[in-house]
Amino acid sequence: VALKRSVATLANDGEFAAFSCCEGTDPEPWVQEAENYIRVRALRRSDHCLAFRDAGELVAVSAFSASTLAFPFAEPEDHEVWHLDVVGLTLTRQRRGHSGEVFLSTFAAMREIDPGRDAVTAIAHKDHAASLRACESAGLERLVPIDDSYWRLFGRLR
Amino acid sequence: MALTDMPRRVYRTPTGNLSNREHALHIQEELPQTAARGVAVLDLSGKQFTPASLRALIGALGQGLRGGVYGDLKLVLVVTDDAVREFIALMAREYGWPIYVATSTDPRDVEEAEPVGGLTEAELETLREVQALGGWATVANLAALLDLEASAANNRLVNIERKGYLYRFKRPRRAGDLFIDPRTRQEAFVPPAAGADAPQTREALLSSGIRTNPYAQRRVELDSDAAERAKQILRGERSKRK
Repeated sequence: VALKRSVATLANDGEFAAFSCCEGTDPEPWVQEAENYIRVRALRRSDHCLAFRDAGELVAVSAFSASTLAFPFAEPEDHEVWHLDVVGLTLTRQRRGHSGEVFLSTFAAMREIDPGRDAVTAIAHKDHAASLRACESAGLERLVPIDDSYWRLFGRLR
Repeated sequence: MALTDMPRRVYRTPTGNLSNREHALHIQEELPQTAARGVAVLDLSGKQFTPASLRALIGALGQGLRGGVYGDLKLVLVVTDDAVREFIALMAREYGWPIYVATSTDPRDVEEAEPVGGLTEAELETLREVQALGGWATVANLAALLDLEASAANNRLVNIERKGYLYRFKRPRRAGDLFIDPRTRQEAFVPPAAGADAPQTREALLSSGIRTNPYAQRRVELDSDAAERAKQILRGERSKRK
């Protein structure tokens, strides 16, 4: 069943504040961070937030912002892209093949908002296997390690 | 007026040629001379200056800010010319004037405006953290996030406020004074009352010793292999790595 995508605004604050994508009492910090961001900051901080629903129930969230990819050395140029701030699925929808749908639908929304931005960056923790797998399935590849913890991923919008 | 209300107004001047010193100085007369807090975004993009007219304008603005002529106003200058931007930064740093410089009047760009007048690396880091916290901080939550002694966190916030880059709101001792970043968009602000028990952005990461900020990604600079591979991706070339 295809999830229904809609734009989320501060009017959805209550729903987002209760969103849960974190399992157990002692989750990994990078998973907890994603949930915290969705609950408290995504609607205020990210340029665009999307809500994905099944029969009216909020089951997934994505958020993204405009970004500039700069190549400052040798033929300096800038390229306008999107940065995927967060993607989260509720616990009941995890490991059921929905992440690909959420990514592709998010990419479609990106193209609708600005057809000129044809690529997307993301950041994922090196030990967050599910996140890395989901990103790579959606066409983002590990571009460069940011530090000891995180990878920068990058890909063309599908 | 709510605690977090910071009226913001964009000031534009129709005159494109500001090479005349008197014309340039005329701009500063537009700014309100008031004690109320607020943010003035002065759009200087596309204006033509001579070194003398630019120095006169920035000097008048900087001295006015430092001397309290504009009350508790915070100033963001919008500049698109790199040389003008550098000149403003040099003057602000030299004289310690509290000036932010942005690339456009768009609220998102104002939120990213650079504080150019004489902040230390530690103070710049603190300002970034205040933004990441949602545009406000108390001594207690900054100390917890940066793993600092309360006295060190207090010194950082108070010094930045004294230099003119933060607002400080007195509150009862138990709650702790509130320090607010004037660049923050109203809609991006997480009200302290609502956020008191809410998780803080990056709280989970910082408490695990991870300093990466996954959200400050407005501009990403790539070089060497990463730049080359990114260009290949943009050209639609598939990865050869397997």
